[in-house]
Amino acid sequence: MIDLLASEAEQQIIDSVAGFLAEKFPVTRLRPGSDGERRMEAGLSAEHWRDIASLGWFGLGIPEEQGGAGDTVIAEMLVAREIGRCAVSPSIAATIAAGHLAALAGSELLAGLMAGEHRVAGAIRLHAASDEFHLIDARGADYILVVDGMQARLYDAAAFADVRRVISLDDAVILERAHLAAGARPTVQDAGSNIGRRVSLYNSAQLLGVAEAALKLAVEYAGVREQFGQAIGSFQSIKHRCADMAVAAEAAFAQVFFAGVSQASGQPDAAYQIAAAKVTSAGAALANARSGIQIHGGTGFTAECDAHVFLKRAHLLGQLGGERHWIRETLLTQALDDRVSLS
Amino acid sequence: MQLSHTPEEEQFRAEVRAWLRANVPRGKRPRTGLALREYDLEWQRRQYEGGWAGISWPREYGGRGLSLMQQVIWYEECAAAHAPVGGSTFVALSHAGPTLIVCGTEEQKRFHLPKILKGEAVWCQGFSEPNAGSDLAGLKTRAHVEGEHLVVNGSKIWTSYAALADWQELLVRTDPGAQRHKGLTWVICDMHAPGITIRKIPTMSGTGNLCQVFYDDVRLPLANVVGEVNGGWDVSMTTLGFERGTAFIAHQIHLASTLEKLHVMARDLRGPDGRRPAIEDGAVADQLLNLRAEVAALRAMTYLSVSRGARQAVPGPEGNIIALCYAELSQRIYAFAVELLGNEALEMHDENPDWLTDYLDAFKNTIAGGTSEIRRNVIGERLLGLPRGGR
Repeated sequence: MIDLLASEAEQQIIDSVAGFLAEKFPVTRLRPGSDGERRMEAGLSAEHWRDIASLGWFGLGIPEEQGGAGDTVIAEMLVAREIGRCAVSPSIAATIAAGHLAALAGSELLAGLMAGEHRVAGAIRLHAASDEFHLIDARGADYILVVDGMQARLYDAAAFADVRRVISLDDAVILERAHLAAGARPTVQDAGSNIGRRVSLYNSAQLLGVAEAALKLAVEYAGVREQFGQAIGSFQSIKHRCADMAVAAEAAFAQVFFAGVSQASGQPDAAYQIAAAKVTSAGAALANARSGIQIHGGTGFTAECDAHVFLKRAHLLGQLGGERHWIRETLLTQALDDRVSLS
Repeated sequence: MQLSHTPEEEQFRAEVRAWLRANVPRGKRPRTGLALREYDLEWQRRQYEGGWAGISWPREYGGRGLSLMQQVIWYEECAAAHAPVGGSTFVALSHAGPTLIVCGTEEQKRFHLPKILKGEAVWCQGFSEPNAGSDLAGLKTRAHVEGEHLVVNGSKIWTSYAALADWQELLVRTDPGAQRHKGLTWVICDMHAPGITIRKIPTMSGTGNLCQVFYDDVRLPLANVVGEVNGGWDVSMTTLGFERGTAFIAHQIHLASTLEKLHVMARDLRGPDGRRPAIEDGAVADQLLNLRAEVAALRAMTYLSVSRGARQAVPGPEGNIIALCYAELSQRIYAFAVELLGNEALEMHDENPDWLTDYLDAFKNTIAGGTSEIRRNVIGERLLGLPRGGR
């Protein structure tokens, strides 16, 4: 039995998350005003963080006996996808993952994470042998989540030294550089790959959201923008580009959620599917973002159009949730038999 | 959303696997001619006798009435067992049959469906014409009603297996005065009827199953009309829905096993530096990695089709997405095989003729059954809602 379409309950989650984000975090918030300043600062304010915590996202997938809502990883991925569409902070997904890490380790941090009292930010190691990291939206974060390969570790934010803000390509987030102190011990860590896989799934779901949002924006524009006396979407050069974007988005949707149900049902090839989901969704997000800019023409080059937001977010998320090395290892070494048949 | 293996599915898979192990034909499949027809029909007969024909077809017409998921399991196991895929029975099983189940009369279903399942009939398609390819609704092959018959004159082209076929799904113009889409009729054509001439068309891959068919006062009983006279466009859209939707399951799975062969080849063959295995070359590894991810996504899209199939009886235009993906990905995979072969690809010798023939043959994938360009139009207009425009 396989079903990759949203159930009624899942559709309710999508609708409520989408409704909240459209009101509080529309992508248009990132447009410059007439004075060149944006309506909303980069990152997430403490007030926003409280708002989000009150929606229960941080406990959505935590088992009921540990105080969560007991929902599936799919439900969390549906939240992440909407976050991706609106280019909201990746620290939400990092905090959701940290909750699972705490739950797995039986850590007392769990209650505070679910309540939104502890805030977590993601970090990207500059390269495999480096002790230097990029921190994403770590201002106000209490903990930093680091994933090497599929190994997840949660460090106290104080373990990072020499923190300095750098100019972020994706200026919807605050990007910083920092060194992990020598000998720093993680507060909590996962001996297995469970949390690393979740981080990757949430990240791929956000990339999917980016790919879908870029598609939607481009199709809307192609339907209304007129040249030569007709909507540009009636020209094959534009229409076919939109069709390719739709194909990329559908492939990413199918693979991302197939990876999700594979992980949720404990399939032996779940890691393989998760790696493929990262490749597919990252590819779709980048390609769709680029096409979206081109379809908007001159407007697409301006910051008054939202198309560039998706490009920059695609680059940011592309560096998260599964490094190239792990992906190569996973996608190239797995044997055939694990995958051709379901059992 | 969910993925689970019900005990019924597990048991079904085990039964399929055991049966296939004992019954899959071992000999190499002929590429052309009557030998190909016999090979394909014999394999279909064996499946029927084993109780495996028409897994998701209704029971009343000889099918098993099982789920689309079980159909997928069947195809997956067929690929793992290296069973033949597609070929001259493809049109009958993957679109004529399903179209008759949805649109045919009781009499048509009772007559044709068992023959298809039992491996007693080969079907071919008769849609495209020399001057109506992508512009299908511009077709000109005429048929007029004479008493209880339709009398057909004209020509169809790009018809695979016409020379081997017993029946054809034939789309003809019955009302030349009507608007383009409205004057068409979908009729079952007896390929042995007087007045039919078949010309074989040589192809770039050397596989010789492509034909042009000429109709000279061919008389077909009106009882062979599927749907209404002048209602053929809707019937043909049903047919194409099947062709672009569920019919791709077998192809997708076959492509997945093709890539696995290529993976093995990349380990066995020497790479560009002449020393290490090809797979240790960074560029080769990256290409393989991306192709594996794309094949994984194609499989997931198949499951998405199955999920949709559980909620709708006739596949919608979404099937164009997976058809387009499959067509372009298959070409990339065979092109990669040729690249891996290097100099070897210049010789059609015994070890590699399949890779080369398959590479050349895959050029048809973005043309047959709707070009990639037409599929992009359909995706743009029917799925994304973009306005129609000049072609």
